[in-house]
Amino acid sequence: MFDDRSPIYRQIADRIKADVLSGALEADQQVMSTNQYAAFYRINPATAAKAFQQLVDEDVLYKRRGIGMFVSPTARDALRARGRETFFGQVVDPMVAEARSIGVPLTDVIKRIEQLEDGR
Amino acid sequence: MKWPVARLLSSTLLPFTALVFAAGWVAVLLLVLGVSLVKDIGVSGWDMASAQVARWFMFGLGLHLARKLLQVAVVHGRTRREYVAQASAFTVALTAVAAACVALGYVLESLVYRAAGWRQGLEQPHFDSATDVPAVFLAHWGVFGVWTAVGMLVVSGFDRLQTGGVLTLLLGVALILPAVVTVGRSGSLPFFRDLDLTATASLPLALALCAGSWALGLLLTWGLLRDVPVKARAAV
Amino acid sequence: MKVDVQNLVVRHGDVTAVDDLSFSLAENKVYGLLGRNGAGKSSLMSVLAAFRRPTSGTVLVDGEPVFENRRATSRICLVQHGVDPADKGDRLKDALSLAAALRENWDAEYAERLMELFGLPHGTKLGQLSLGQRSAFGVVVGLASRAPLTMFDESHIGMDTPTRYAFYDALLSDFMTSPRTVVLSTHLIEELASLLEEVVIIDSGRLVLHEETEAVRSRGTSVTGPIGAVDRFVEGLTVLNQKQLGPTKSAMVYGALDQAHHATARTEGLDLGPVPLQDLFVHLTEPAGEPR
Repeated sequence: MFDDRSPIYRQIADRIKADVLSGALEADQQVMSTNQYAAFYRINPATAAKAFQQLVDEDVLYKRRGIGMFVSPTARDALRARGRETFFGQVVDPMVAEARSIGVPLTDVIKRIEQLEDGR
Repeated sequence: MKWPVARLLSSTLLPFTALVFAAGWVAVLLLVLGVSLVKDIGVSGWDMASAQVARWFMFGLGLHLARKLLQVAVVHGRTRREYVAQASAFTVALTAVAAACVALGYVLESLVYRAAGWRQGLEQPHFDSATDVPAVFLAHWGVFGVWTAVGMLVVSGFDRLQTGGVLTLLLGVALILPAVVTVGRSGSLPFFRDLDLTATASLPLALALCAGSWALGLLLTWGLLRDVPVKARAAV
Repeated sequence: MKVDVQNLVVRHGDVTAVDDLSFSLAENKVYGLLGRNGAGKSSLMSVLAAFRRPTSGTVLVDGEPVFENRRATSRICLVQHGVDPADKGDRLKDALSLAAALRENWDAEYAERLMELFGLPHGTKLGQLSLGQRSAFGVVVGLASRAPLTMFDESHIGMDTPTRYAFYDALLSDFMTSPRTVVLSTHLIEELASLLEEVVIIDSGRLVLHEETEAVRSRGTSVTGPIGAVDRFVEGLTVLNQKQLGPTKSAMVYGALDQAHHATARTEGLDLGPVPLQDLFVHLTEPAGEPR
């Protein structure tokens, strides 16, 4: 269920972030509990709790004592802003490098991007 | 709950023991009935059986008490001290039940013999009548106690000292001898068949000897079991 | 339940199974006890459960010595192959009543649910169970003991995959509703790794490491690339293993990598990847004299 790329808790955190970005999890919506996550993914609850703690530290989630974890109202915008910051470094640069190494001219890449943009 | 080990032992081993004696009694009766077809009955079948087989049965119960059940108790979080203390106390109840079964067996047999017109001949120094329940009970209680304790001692010896367990076997014989030869027939022992001191020892003296051997046997058993490891038998 | 092991030595005759071992376990965590065959796992657990007296050293649970101490042993349960929880001739239902009679915190109702979960037949004798069924019955005895320290020594042996998953799920859900300290010894490291909060690795009776599972996992990195570049990269790092395929070399390093390492990897075109816990385990317990 998990690959070995990064610690499990980071993978869980990334999955929740992805759900927030896609809108699957909305602002102020309650997320599943640590225990539900642990049972679902068959992992130690302490590991799941660590993922949640990381998300609380990053202001993606907030805790309501005795009730559970909720999506911060500002989470989506913050994640989008953060995503924009790293977008070129993490997505575009490697793509350009890959295009170069296999011999795809950058003009073709740009053309493709324009096509996708027009198609919308 | 108090005394969990003793309770557990009582609830399983007491009914089992009573059942074995009941089955034994029926078997003996059938045997006697069989013999009666060929010749006249002049001795008590129960008297012969309870002197021989019953002691070895008690010895076997002793083995069981000190070995398998101790392991199981430790596995379930009980201490050796707790187990051995309660199992030792339990030998009193166990042997009392066994002795009561023997006494009851004599009484029932006397009824059958009377109805059939047979003579219930006994070979016992400390009681002349099969219906002398107190004497029958006491004599057997003492002897059974010794045999049970010696069973526990011997199995603990082999468990703890491996081949050195032979020593406890010798010790066991030493414990059994004075008690048995003063109470009743030594016929159930190899080598000591003709040893008989019953004429010189009264029942109270014989019982005191039994109690001594019994207590000593339990004490030595505790010495052997106090830090006996629970070992995995050839795992898997 | 807290466990403190100090300078523990366990000898069986001439064989030293546990050799001056010290570590502590905290309350209410799931631990993995890992080691090769003969590393001393079973001997260690035997002593923790007061199945045997330590040769020397101390074992304290919640500050008290365990051996022949009822306050401690009544709160500890070890499930181990070859140590039966009842007589081989006992039927399972009798074995359960035995446990109920002897165990202070025995949860009979939970035991019944687990019997059903594993499809164990009440009327069958303990000695007639298959290996997998015996393992499953051990799990029933361990979980239903509700012992604050519950240890499973290779309790998955002989279980098929669905049964193992049922075991893990039952363990996890029970752990979450009523936490206790759990110790699992296993060979199926990858399968269990995500369940373990911390791992204790022992080898030849000695402690190799005791850490959070995720920390151990993040400490292993595989470095792959041209031979020269890899050799330069791993200089000064702990190399557990290296392999070569033509001009390419792959090295397994152990230890946290800093920013500079990551930068070097990028500029030198080296591939950094994770190392499965199982591989780390294999190399951390490599016999002396073999490549480290």
